[in-house]
Amino acid sequence: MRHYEVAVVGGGVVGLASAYGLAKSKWRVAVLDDGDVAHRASRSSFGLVWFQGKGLGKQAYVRLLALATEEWANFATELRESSGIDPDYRQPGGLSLCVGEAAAEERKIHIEALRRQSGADGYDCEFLPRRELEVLFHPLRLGSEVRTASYCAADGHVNPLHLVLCMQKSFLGIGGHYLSNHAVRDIVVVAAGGFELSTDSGRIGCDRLLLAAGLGVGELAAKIGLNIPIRPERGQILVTQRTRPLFPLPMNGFRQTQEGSVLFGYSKESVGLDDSTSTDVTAGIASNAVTVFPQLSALRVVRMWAGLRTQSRDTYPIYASSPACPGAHAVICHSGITLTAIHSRVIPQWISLGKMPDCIREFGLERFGV
Amino acid sequence: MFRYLERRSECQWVTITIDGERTDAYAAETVAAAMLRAGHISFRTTAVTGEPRGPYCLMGACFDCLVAIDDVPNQQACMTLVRAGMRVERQKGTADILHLADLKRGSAP
Repeated sequence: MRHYEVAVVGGGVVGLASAYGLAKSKWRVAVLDDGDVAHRASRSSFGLVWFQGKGLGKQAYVRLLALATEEWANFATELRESSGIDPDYRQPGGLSLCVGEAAAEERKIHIEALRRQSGADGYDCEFLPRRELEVLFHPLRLGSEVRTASYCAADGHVNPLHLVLCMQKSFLGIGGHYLSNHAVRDIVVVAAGGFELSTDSGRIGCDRLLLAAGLGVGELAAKIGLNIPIRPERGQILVTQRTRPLFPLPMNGFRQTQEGSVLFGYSKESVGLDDSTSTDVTAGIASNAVTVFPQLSALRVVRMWAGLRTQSRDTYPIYASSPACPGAHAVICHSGITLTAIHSRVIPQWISLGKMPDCIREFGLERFGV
Repeated sequence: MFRYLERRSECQWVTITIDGERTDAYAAETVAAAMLRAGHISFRTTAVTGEPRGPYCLMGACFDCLVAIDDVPNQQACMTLVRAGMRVERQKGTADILHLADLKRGSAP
C-alpha cells in the first residue's frame, strides 16, 4: 500500500493549490482525484478573480479576498514559470455594471455598507458615471439602461482550465503524485497514527489528510467526525464564437478570454445535483447581455454549460480541523478561483503546523453551531 | 485531394465563386464540400495567431470552417448549402462584431 505524508482528496483548484504548496515545502503529497464523472466545479468556473462587492457581514472574508487578490499576480507568474503554461491571469480591474436606476441605487448602498464595515481597512471601489463608461468601451456601445458601474482595481480574471493544468504540471514537476480514478470511499483512523483511505483503485495510507473534494466533502467529512453542511448551487454560462478584443476589462457577468471567446453568465439556482443547462436561464442571460451591449446580438453562441458551486450555509468558505481525528482537515468554498493564490500558501501552513492561520480562523464550523 | 466518386446526372449544377474564382458545385451540397473539392484545405486564419484552419467536424460543432458568404462573415461552411451565384470568401481572422451588428440591423455601410 502506498503511503504519503499528506493525502489531498480532490484535484480541483482547492486541492491542487493546497497540494502544490505542500509539495513546495518538500512534503510527500498525493492528490487523490475521482475520474471525469466527478462534479468538478473547477471545470465550469466563469474565471473571475474578484474582490468587489463580497463579504458584507463578514469583514474577515473581505480581508481574505484582499490578500488573495494582492497575491494573485505573483502566483500567476510563479505558475507560468514553473509549468511553462500561461494561466492567462490579468488584473486590469473589474466592473460591476448597473442596469436601471433601482439596480444602481442598490449597488451604491451595498458598496457604501462595505466601506463602512471596512473602516480603517479602507475599501477601494468607486462608481463611474455613464459618460466615462461610454469612453472606456468605445467603439462598443452600451445599452441605454446602463446607468453606472462600480470599478475596483483589485479585480481580474484567469483561464480556469489553464489554471488547473498549470497547477497539475507544476505539482508533478516538483515531485507531487497525482492519482486519478482514486475516488475515496472510506476513511479509517489507524491506531498507530495516520489514516487509511479506501479508493476506487486500492488503499492509500497517509499521516495527514485534507478533504478538498467540493460537493464530495459532506459525505467524507462525516467519516472524520465533521458535520459540514453544504449544498450545490447551479450556475450557467454561455460562450460565444471568438472575436476581436471588445472589453477593456472583465465585468460581473461578462468577460472575454485571451483567445477571443466572450463568456456571459451569472445565475444561481438550487436544483440539487442537476448540472444541465436550461432554456429559461440561458435565454435570460442572453437577453441581459444584449440589454447591456446591444451589438453582442451579432455574435453566435457556440456552447453553454452549467456547473455546481459548493455552497455553504452562509456562502463563506469552511476550513475545519477534526477534533476527533487529529491530522484530518477539510475545506470547502465556492470562490475557489479567487482564493487559489492564498490557498497555495495558507492551507499548507495550516496542515503542516496543525494550527489555523489567522486569516482563515474565522471560517470554522463553530459559526454554524454544529 | 477530394473528388466526386461519381457525377450524378439528376443533380443540378450551379456556379459559385470562391475568393473570386468560379467553381461548379452541386445545388444541394454544402459549401464546405464544394470548397474542399475545389482544393481549399484552409478556409480561414485564426484571430489570435493567424494560423490556417479548415473544417474539422463537418457537422456544425467546431466552428473551424467559418467563411464569408455573400458579404456576411462567420458562416459555417459545413452547415450552409450551395446556391447559384453564391460568393464565398475565405476569412482572415475574426469578423468585426461591430460591422456584423450593423449588417444584422440591416444598415450595412
